[in-house]
Amino acid sequence: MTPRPPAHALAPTLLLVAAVTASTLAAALAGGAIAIAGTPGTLPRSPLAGVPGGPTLAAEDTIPIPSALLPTMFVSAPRVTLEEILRRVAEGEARRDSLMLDQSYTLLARLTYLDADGKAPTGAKTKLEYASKVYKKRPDKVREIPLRQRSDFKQKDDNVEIGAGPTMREQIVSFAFEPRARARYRFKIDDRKIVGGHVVYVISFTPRSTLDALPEGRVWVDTNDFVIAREEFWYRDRSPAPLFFKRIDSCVVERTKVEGRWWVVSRILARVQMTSMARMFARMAKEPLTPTVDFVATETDWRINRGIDDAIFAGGKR
Amino acid sequence: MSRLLLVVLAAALATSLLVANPARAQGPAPDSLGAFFQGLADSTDASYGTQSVTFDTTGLDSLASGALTRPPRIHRRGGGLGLSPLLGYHRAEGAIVGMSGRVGSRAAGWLSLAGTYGFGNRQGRYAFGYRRTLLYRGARRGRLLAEPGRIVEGATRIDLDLGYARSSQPFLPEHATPRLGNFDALFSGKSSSSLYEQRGASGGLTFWTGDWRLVAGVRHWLDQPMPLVTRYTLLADREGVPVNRLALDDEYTEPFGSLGFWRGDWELGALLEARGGGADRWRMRGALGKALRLGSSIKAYAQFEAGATAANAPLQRRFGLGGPRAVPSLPIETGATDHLLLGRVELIEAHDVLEAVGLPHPDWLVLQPLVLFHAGAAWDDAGGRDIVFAGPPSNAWRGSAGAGLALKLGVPDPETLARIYVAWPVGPDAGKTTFRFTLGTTFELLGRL
Repeated sequence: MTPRPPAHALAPTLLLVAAVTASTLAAALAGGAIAIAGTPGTLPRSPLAGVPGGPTLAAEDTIPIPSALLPTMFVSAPRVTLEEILRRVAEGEARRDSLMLDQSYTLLARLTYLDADGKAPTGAKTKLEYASKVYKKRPDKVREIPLRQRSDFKQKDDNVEIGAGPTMREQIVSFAFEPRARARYRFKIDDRKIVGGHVVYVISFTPRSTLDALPEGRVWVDTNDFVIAREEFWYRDRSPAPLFFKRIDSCVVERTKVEGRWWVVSRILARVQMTSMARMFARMAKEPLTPTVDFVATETDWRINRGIDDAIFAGGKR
Repeated sequence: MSRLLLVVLAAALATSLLVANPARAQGPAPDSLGAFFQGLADSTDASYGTQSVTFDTTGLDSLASGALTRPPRIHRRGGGLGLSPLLGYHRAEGAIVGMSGRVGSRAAGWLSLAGTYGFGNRQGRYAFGYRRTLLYRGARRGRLLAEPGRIVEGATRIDLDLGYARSSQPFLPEHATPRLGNFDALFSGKSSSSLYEQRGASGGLTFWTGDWRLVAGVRHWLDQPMPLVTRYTLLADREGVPVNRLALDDEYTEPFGSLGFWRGDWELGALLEARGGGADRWRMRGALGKALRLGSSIKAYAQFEAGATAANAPLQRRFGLGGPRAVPSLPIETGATDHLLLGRVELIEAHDVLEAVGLPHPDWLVLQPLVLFHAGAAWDDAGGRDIVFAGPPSNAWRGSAGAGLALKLGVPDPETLARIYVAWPVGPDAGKTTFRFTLGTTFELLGRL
């Protein structure tokens, strides 16, 4: 058990925490996340609380109120439950998808061989760089125009192919929150942060069964839009394909808000540790494999709902 | 004194923050959320390293702006001919050597060709197949439609399949282990199903939508027996190698169809399949599979199977009870009956046994403990009636219990497992203690849906 320091030794820290807490609370208040009354000790129920379709107001009872600096307040609005967050995230993602009619972006991808198995990365070597321009339109049109490909593979036209599918759903971000997948995970609120008027929830997810080939991870949910803004997941203590992947140390999916409205994937990163068997097969195929493979893809230059002409898709494959 | 200074300093900081904060709160910097996530991204960059995350974007803008008008020409893999070797061994064929290949495109369809030669029976086998996806709606990329379909949430697909083949088929294919080189036949010669020759043409449509798969088609086939040609085994006693059951000569045209269901989140699947061919050939089979979570690290995979065929159906259409997919303590192809009931439960635990006992092992060798209970009955209807539903006599039941290890391969199917176990008979006439090594999937009685 960790010994607790004496209270007087914590005084400066407590004051600093109190100050920061008060500042963030004030920021939240100004941002409309929590309604308070001017009278100390009372807090009328917010007119927004419980309004159908309206925001659910969080009672941030985990944030200590510095009684020395602010009067004690009681928040009567209901606290956002984990279940409600999960439901709203699913709805938020579905809403985002349904409003997208067409999109275009520039895809850049890179495959790097290196050795970063339990140590700092060494011997990094780029094996493949690929760039393309991608156009998509509902319901399932896609055209991908390769712009550039640099490969260090001996078989230049094989082995690895990177490309975009026709869907505008970004399931790589929301897979654990899809209605059908939710029952297979345990979710937990890890943290809440107030950033510039946004309440950001950090929610972790773990497969209910360690026999399922499902990752564990966490997401950052911006509760203004109930959209996942960042995700990290991994297979660290088990592999989805044990013969070839020893571990998947991390997959990171970053999203950016573009055109002030749309949350889109801006970057995907993955670090995979390969097994000795995978490396043996690679040697047999005369394409030696390093213990670690990094994959990074970025999607930039997003344009959404600009009205892409159907003729553009006539020249490409579905 | 110093503590007092700290308190004063902290108080000053607190006051300044409180004073400064309302202005920030009223007008938060528009990119403060972006800056927050950028901080996390910077941390990710540091973790991955510059070499992995930095792109050379020189000249990319001009390429992107002219992508539609002047698309660069970059060679990407097309639908060229892909070849793979075929090797195998069976007591009815001897060693076989051959090649298979596939060529085609999404638009034109995929033509598959395969040919082998058996050095034991000195016969060739060949198969021509043509598959074209007539309709596809879903998230996958079009070129991946070269692979056979399967139930995928949100995807709808219709495939046309045409084929002509002279092939070697196993008896009771639902219980036959995959012919991946037939190493089992080479080592012991006992665990492979008997083979018979099948020649003919078939055509069918497969429709996947949501959680369902529907197959309908017709075929004309000629079945012929294949005799035993070799008793060679590498390790086992040659006298113990069983004969190759002789199929009945038969020529027929039959409709066939199946209805399959799979829900991944429920881990529940079902299959109902039927073959026609007339009053003396019809055959029906159903299977149900469900996984149950027992705590966070154990799962029970339960599967049930029922089958019925015409009372006078030829041997190659009848049901059996033995083998690793049915009652493993019984020899494969035990029984040749017109009805079958089978239930099996496997419990697999998630932990790596070798790691748990501290044995050094290759990183890919993750062996998980498993126990199994299989029980079933195969019987002929006492009245010789052509009926689907009939109750088994009480003395027809046989069972096995077993314990062993499972190795999750993950290829070619994510649920592919190699199992090695010892099975003991449960009850009278249930065979003998048997050592088994099998390749299959968690729900192998359902097949690929």
